[in-house]
Amino acid sequence: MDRRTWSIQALNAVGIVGAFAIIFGLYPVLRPWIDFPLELLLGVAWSLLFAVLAWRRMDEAAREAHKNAWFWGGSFGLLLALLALIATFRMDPHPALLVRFSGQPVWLMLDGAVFAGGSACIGYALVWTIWWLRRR
Amino acid sequence: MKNRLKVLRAERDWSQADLAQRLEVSRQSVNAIETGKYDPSLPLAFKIGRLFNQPIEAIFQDGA
Repeated sequence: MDRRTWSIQALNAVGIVGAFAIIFGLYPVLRPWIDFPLELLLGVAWSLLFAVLAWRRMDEAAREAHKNAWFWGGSFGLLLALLALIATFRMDPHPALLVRFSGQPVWLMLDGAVFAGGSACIGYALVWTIWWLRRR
Repeated sequence: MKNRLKVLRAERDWSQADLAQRLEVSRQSVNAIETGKYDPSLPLAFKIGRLFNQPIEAIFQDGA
């Protein structure tokens, strides 16, 4: 591995160890004074940093694969998720699986966000894999 | 798009990994370019041209 790869791997290790330390050590102590989920904030910040470093290290073909995967996989993943939701609600206006937190809109919103994001990510992963398999 | 990358590489007895290292791309990218499954960007095409000391059009041919 070259120096940049080592740097990214080291950062990865520091992030994982740091996250565990914060979640299991520092955060429970600070919990009464923190309103926002700290682990989420740290996770997002660390993911962004990792994504920027990884992006800068990639060559153009790898970047092209990601762009293709997000555009086609992400878009069609979202579209299929939307169609699946419409079909589900047409068959049953109160599907038990989707309204498990009925009466709490915030949880329904969170479910929707996870469902949409998850569908986009699955589409992305599929297209990314196909892109590389075709160009191996 | 067709190209002569594989021939030029073979003339110098370079492996795909050797060429990838010289171009600062991955071996998979070199393979994808060689097999015509991925067209390189202009900056990378110029870099390839400089590496083999040939104009771009001598290495890459439009398939149309």
